[in-house]
Parts: sequence; C-alpha cells; structure tokens
Amino acid sequence: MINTATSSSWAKENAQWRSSYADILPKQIDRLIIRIEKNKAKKETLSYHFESMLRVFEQGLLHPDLATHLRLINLVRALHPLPIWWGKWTEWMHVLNKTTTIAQKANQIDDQIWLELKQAEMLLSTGKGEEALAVAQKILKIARIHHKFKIEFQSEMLLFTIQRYLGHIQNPLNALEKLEKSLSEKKEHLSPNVAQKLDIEFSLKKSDILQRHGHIEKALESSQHAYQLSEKLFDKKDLKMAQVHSRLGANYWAKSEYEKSIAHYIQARRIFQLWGDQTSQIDSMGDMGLVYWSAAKYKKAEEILEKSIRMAEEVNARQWQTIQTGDLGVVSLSRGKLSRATALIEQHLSLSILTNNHTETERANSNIANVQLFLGDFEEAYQRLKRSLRSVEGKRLEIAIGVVRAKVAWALEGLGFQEDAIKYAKSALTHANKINIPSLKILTLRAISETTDNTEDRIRYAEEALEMARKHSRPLNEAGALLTLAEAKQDDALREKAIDILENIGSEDWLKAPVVFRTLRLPLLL
Amino acid sequence: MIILEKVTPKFLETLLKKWQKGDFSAEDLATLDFSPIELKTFEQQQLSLREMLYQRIQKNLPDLLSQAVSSQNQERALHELRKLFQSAPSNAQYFSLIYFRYFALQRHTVKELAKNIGVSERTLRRYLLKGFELLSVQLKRASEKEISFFSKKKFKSHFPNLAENQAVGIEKVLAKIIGWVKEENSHYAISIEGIGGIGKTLIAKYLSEEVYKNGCFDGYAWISARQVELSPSGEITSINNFVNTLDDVVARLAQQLGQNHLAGLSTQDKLEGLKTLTRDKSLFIVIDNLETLEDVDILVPELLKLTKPSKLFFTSRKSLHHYSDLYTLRTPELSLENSRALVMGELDRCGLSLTLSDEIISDLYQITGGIPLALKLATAQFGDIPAKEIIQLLREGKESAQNMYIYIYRQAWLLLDDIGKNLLISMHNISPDGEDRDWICDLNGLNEEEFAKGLQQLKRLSLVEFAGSIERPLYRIHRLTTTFLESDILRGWEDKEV
Repeated sequence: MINTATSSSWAKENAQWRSSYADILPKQIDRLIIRIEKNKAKKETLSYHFESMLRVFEQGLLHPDLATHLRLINLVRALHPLPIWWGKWTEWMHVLNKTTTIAQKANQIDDQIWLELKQAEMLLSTGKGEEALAVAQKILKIARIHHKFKIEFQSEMLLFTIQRYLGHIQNPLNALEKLEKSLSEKKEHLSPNVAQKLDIEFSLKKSDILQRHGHIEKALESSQHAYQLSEKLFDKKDLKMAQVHSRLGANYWAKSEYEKSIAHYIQARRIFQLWGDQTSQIDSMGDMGLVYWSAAKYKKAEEILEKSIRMAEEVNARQWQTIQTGDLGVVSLSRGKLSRATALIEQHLSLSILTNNHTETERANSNIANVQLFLGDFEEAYQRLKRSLRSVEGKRLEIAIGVVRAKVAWALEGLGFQEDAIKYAKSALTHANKINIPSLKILTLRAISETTDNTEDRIRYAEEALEMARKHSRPLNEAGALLTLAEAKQDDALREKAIDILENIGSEDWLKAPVVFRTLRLPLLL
Repeated sequence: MIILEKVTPKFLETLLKKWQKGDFSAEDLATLDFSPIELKTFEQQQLSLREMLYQRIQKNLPDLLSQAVSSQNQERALHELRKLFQSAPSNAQYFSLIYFRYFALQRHTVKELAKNIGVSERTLRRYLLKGFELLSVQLKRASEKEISFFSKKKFKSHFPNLAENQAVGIEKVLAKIIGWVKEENSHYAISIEGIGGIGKTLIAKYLSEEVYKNGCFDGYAWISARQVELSPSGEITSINNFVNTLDDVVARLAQQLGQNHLAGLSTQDKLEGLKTLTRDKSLFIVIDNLETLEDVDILVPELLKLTKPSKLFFTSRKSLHHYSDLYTLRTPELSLENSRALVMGELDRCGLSLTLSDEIISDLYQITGGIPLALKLATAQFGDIPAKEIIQLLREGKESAQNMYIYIYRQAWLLLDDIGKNLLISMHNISPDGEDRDWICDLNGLNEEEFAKGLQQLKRLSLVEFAGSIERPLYRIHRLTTTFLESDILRGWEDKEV
C-alpha cells in the first residue's frame, strides 16, 4: 500500500495504464465522431465541449499509430465548420494545419486538398489574403495534377474571390466569364448532382459580382437560378438555402425592394441560427442593417449593426467587424452624428488595413472624405476622393464611380473651382443615366443642383431629384432636395418639410451639425 | 430597481391615495420589489420611494411653478398653476396637478383644483389619470435604462462558478479588502497575489459576492483569463480563446458593462468611453489571473485609468508592486488554526469521524506549509492510512521526492481501485472547465455504475472538483492532478514500445 517505489519501478508498475490509455484513445476519437454526427444540428449540445474535443485531438496527434492519425482527419471533417461558427478561429486553424500535415504524410490527396481549401477560406475570412492566395494556388495545382475536377473548380472560384479581394482583378466581369466557361467544360466530368451544386455556388458568386457592377436585374436572375436549383437539391432548412436567401436579400436591397429584402434576410438568419452558424448570422445581420439604413430606418439600422459588431468582436470575425464598422459609420453620418461617424470610419480604416481588405480601405477613405467635406477640409477630401475615384474606376465599380464623382464635385466647389465641379457633377449624372440606378441618379441630380450658381438650374435639378426621391422612397435625399429648393426659392415652408422628414428618420442632428457649406447640405449617400 | 410591470397608472394612483391617508404598507414596497440595497429599515425605504416619486414629479414642473412652490407661498403657487392651464396643453400640466393633489405641503382637493384651473371635477380627474399614465411611463423608462445598463442577472453570470463552502481562512483578508472597498478614498486598485492554488480567485469571488450582495457598486464586471492548458511536459500554456490582450479585455469590459454604443470603435475610443463611465458610475471590476495575459505592462496602466470612484481588482501570481497606483496584497498561507479547520472540514466531508491530535495537525501544517490543496489531498487519505504514517511518509517524501505533491498523488493513486484509476485517466482528456457525466461516460465507454463507483473514490480522495449547477454538474481535475497523470502515470504512453 505504502509507496516507496523508485521512479523506474513505479513506471514499470503502471505500464498497463499507459497501454490502456493508448488503446482507449482511438476509441475516444471514434465515439467523438459519432457524437458529433448525431448532434451536429444542435449547437448547444456540442459547443460547450470544444475544449475537451481539442484535448482529444492533441492527444491523438501524439498517438504512435497511423490509423489513429487518420481517424483525426475524420474527426476534423465531421466537426468542420462548427468551431468557426463558435468563433474558435485560431484553435481551428491550428487543428487544420496539423491535420493537413497528417494527410500529406499519409498521402491522402483528397483529404489534403479539402483541408487546404478550408484553410484558404479561413485565411481569407480572417483577412490574410496573401496567405490564402498561396494556399489556393497550391490546391489548384494539386487538383489539376490529380484531375480532381470538382476541387479544381472550387479552387478557381476561391482564387477569383481572393484575387478580387486583393485588388488583383482589373476586369471581374471577364474573369467571371472565364469561370463560367471553366464550369461548363468540367460538367461532363462530374456527376449531375455535383455539377448542379457547383452551378449554385457559381450563380451566387456571379450574382454578387453583377450586382456590384450595376447589373441589378441580371444579378437577381442569377440568384433565382441558384434558388431553383437549391430547392431541388436541398432541404428548406439547409445552410445552402440560407446562403441563397442572403443573396436574394442583397438583390432586392439593390432594387430598393426593402420588405422583400428583409424577408429573405430573416429567412437566412433563422437557418443560420438553427445551425448555430454565428459568423454567417453576423453577415446577414450586417446586411439587414444596411437595408434598414437604405430604408432610412436609421435607429433600427444602428441597433442591428451594433449588435452584429458585438457578435463579430466576440467571435473574432474581423472581416465582418471591418465591413460593419464601416456601415455603422455611414449610418451615423446619415444621422448627422459627425464625431461618432468620424470615430467609426477611422476605426473602419484601421480594421481594413489590419485585415488587408483593399476594397474596404477605399470605402473608408471615401467616407472619411465625406466627413471632411462637411467640416470644410476640402483639399484633403479632394485628395482622398481622387484616390478613391482612381480605384473604383480601375475596378469598374459602376455605382461607386457615380457616387465618388458627385462627391468630387462638392469638394471642387468647396475649393472654389465651380466649373470643374459642375463638370464632375454632370459626368456623375451621365454615368447614373447610363447604368440606370435611380438612387444614384437622385444623388447626382442633387450634386449638380448644389454646385451650380444658376438659380433656375438649381431649382430644376433639385425638383427632379425631389420627385425621384419621393417616387423611390429615399427620405434623406428628399430632405436634401427640399433644403436645396428652400434655399433656391427662399421658401421656409419647404425647409420646414425637410426638417419634419429629418426628425422622422432620426437625422435631426444634421440641423445642428457644424457644417461649413453656404447652404445646409445633407450627405450624398446611396 | 423596481418591477416594471407593476408600475401601472392605477397602482401609482392607489399608492399615492393610501399615502395621503398615512396608510403605507410594506406590501407596497414588496409589490414594487423596491429595495434600494443601502437602505435597511422600512421607514428609510418608504422615504426613499417617496423621494423618488417626488423628484420625478418635480422634474416635470415648469420653472416658474417650481419657484412658486419652493417659495411656499400657496397663493403664488396656485396662481402659477392657473397660468399654466391657460397656455397650450402640456405634460407639465398633468404633473403639476399630481403635485398639488398628493405632494404639496398643503394638499388640495379635486374640487379646489378644478375650480382653480376652471375645469369640471370630472375633467380634473381625467387630467390626474393622464398624469399617472405619464408618470408610469417615465418610471418604466428610467428603470428600463437602469436594467439594461446594470442588469443584476447579467452581472451575476460573469462571476466564476466555484463550489460553495470552500472559504477557510480567508475571512481576515476578505474583511480587510471589504473595508477598503467601502471606504471612499481608500485603495482604488488592488492586486491579490500569491502562488498557484493558494486561493486568490476564491478571495476575489467571495469579495464580488459580498459587495454585490451589499449593493456597494453601480455595476460589476469579471474578466477571466483563467483558461490555461498543460503542455505534455506539464508546463502551463495559455490558449488563445480567452482574453489575452488589451483589445480583448477592453472589448469584454465594454460588453459586460452594457456599453453597446462602443461596439465597433477602436480600443482607445472604447477606453475613453469606459473612462467616462467609470468616472460617472461606481463600478467594481475584477481581472482574474492576470499573469496569463500577454502583455501585462501595456494592460495594467490603461486599466488603472478606469478607477476613482470605480475600483479595480487583479488576481496574479506575479507581483504588480512596481505600479505606484496599485496596492498589492499577498495571499497568506493558512494559519495553523485555519489549517485545522480545513482538515476537520475535509474529514467531515469524507465521513471520517476521526480525532486528530494537536501534534498531528501541527506536523501536517508544518509539512504542507499551510497550502490548502496539499492539506486537502493529505487529509483525504487519513481514512485509509494511519495519520502518523502519512505524516512520516510525507516527511520522507518531501525530502526525497522532487515535489511533495507527486508523493501525495502517488499515495492517492495507490488507494484507487481499477475503476477509480480508469475514471481518473478518462478525465485527463476533458476541458479544464469540466465535463458532464454523459460526456465522460460516452467517450470512455463507461456505464453509469462504473462512473458512480469511480467518482465516489475520486471524491473521497479529493481528486475531483465539482463545478456547473445542480441540474448539470460538471466534473474536472485540478491542474496539478493532470500534471501527475502526465508525468507519473502516462509518461511515455506515446512511445511505440507501449
């Protein structure tokens, strides 16, 4: 009973326990996999146990048998992407990394590619674009060598996303066409089911890009195609359906059909919630915030964005945190809360640099310029806007081109270059007419009206902007046009109407904002 | 804090009417759950509630009427009231009527008031009802604000879950710190320091519970950096999912303190926001296990700015004595008396009705140095091995073994049967926060009987810790137990020869 054993005899006495531990570990992994599969849809049942799962994984890595290591690959496949949903980015990245090494050593090509693909996706989500690019290129190479058509197309899509993120793609529409061609070439090598699933992925991506380039109807068509296919292949509560709903929400938002948009986002959020996918929930909440913002429900937008940013901070979802901080800055700007807007937009800029997200850096720059315009820092605003214009023109982001040109017009007018200002404002309007986006047209009409000295022109453009703003339910622009008209016509009643609107939408702070323009202006926001 | 749904216009009207008749019951306070915690007596609470309502009404009176009321000139006051009703309808009119009817030194009847402002009695009653409606809405809003800002339940949920009745020998330290907490100009930042297992977190937890119970602060926050894991070599390494940087700490503080508007701002901006908050409100903030955080020297100076009147508490293995604004308090080992209390408590817990001589207690105390964990583990073995023998062996073990703990653990291991050993090894691969029975049994292929039998043994020998709730108890092992398993039992399991 009494322990007087030396270290070596003690070790000898306990050899059976070491052996039993080595035996039980593979069984623990198997039981864990069964448990995960059984409870995957019940987030609470699993998320608490993540630390214990990690311990099993770490111990499994130490196990001398290759078979146990291969079990770990199955464990990781079973668990992915739950840890990401729970915000365990760092730990999960570490696990994927270790498991990739196992797959590589055991020459498990399919597993290796799958693991690296997941790593690349995670690297992109955490703002590590360059690292993601290197991994994605590696996967593509391996997939091509081994004729893995499905994974080859998936990595092509991922490469496209990463390169776009890094600003390496000059003409995304051309790149999209190439992707479409690549998919149709690969279809003959794939089963109909796999081909259709890839088609859904591609259609969603296509819809996103088309929308960003102003092709709103075509973007919606692409999403609807994805929806029809998904309905056939997936259950209503499948995560893929949530992704499709999110995209449709974005499409209807671009069409200013806010109720439809919100309805789709709510559907998406419900499914994400059901699965416990926090990061996607954050994404769709952020989008909903933007829809409320567009519908001039600023307080609601602010509330939902604050909530989603808090969630993003909690689970370290930096990419979403970045984008939504920018969105919240814009909402604050719409409400006339200049100092809060400045703080948020500066944070947006820092986060975008931290996450290496060039598109968001440009957006932050443009929004900082927006605030600077109102504070009278025209020179600095002009420099930023010119930079922003170069960037959006280079990427052919059609909607952004119109918006930035209108803002450049204001900066030039502030600097005293009236003729140039009108030239920019008119080019913004021509652009808006060309791509036929009503909200952009309203905004550019306001820009011309505000920059011209000719009272008749001023009234004409402001009235046109007012009519369109009313028709398309854009209260901030309506108030903006009314203020311009009130000034041009010296009509206090119009001003009162504008004030009523501002009070209704929670933007009355604009009336107190320390702006420097000779007339009271409201920001040029879509 | 009051129960919002109870604050109906009808309830307020009845309450004020009863007060007018001098009829004030504790029931009313209970209905509202109005319990300003710093006030103890019924009378004080009654006055406090009345004062709150009075202030709310007064805030809504127009300046001229307010001045007239303060002058205590009844005629002037009634004149101002009349004038007020000659202007456009406003909420101030309704509040003024409540004031004259229920709060003025000289109370007025409905009839008098109706006559004064030139309306019928029925209209005046309608106005009063309107006033109660407004008052009820205002009270609810104010209370909602409080609740969303400093929700009781929310704060409690941040405190760590520690088993009850663990506090032996911390009374003096606790009383000392509570004294400082209550004293306004005393230490605003305190670091509770000491070696692992000495009970720093326990002190901080009891302190939090105590100040929370007494309502000493407007709000409470607890940031834990407790989560650590052991490397295979037995070293403690931090893992990344818990707070480890200034950014994380500040973000979590903002979140726990309900500062939603700071979401999305930079850490510096969040700190600015928190500085304002901690200046305006008196908050109680604990940062537990500071030594596991990445850059203490960046973190501490920033956090020290969040004091006065708020108070900040750290627990740390490493001393923070080089910060002049911070008071450091070393957690003492248990005294002989407290060691005795702990040992007796442990014997009681194990169901061992043994009598221990002063000599044995004194020897045990001397050998373990008053470290609670060592005392607990050794005492748990008293039922199986004669105490004197344990003391003797511990003394030898202390001299020969590198670590006294290893020696104690080896003894405990030998006292377990195979079921107990199997369960202990099964618990090696669980979270430091503990796991439930279902998980442990499922992953290790144990049935309920084996689990119960094994648990009984581990419990007897103090080798298992309990956390969680009654509904869902969690079981875990101490970090030192994990180290023992890894270095003494399982060492080399991964070698192919096994």
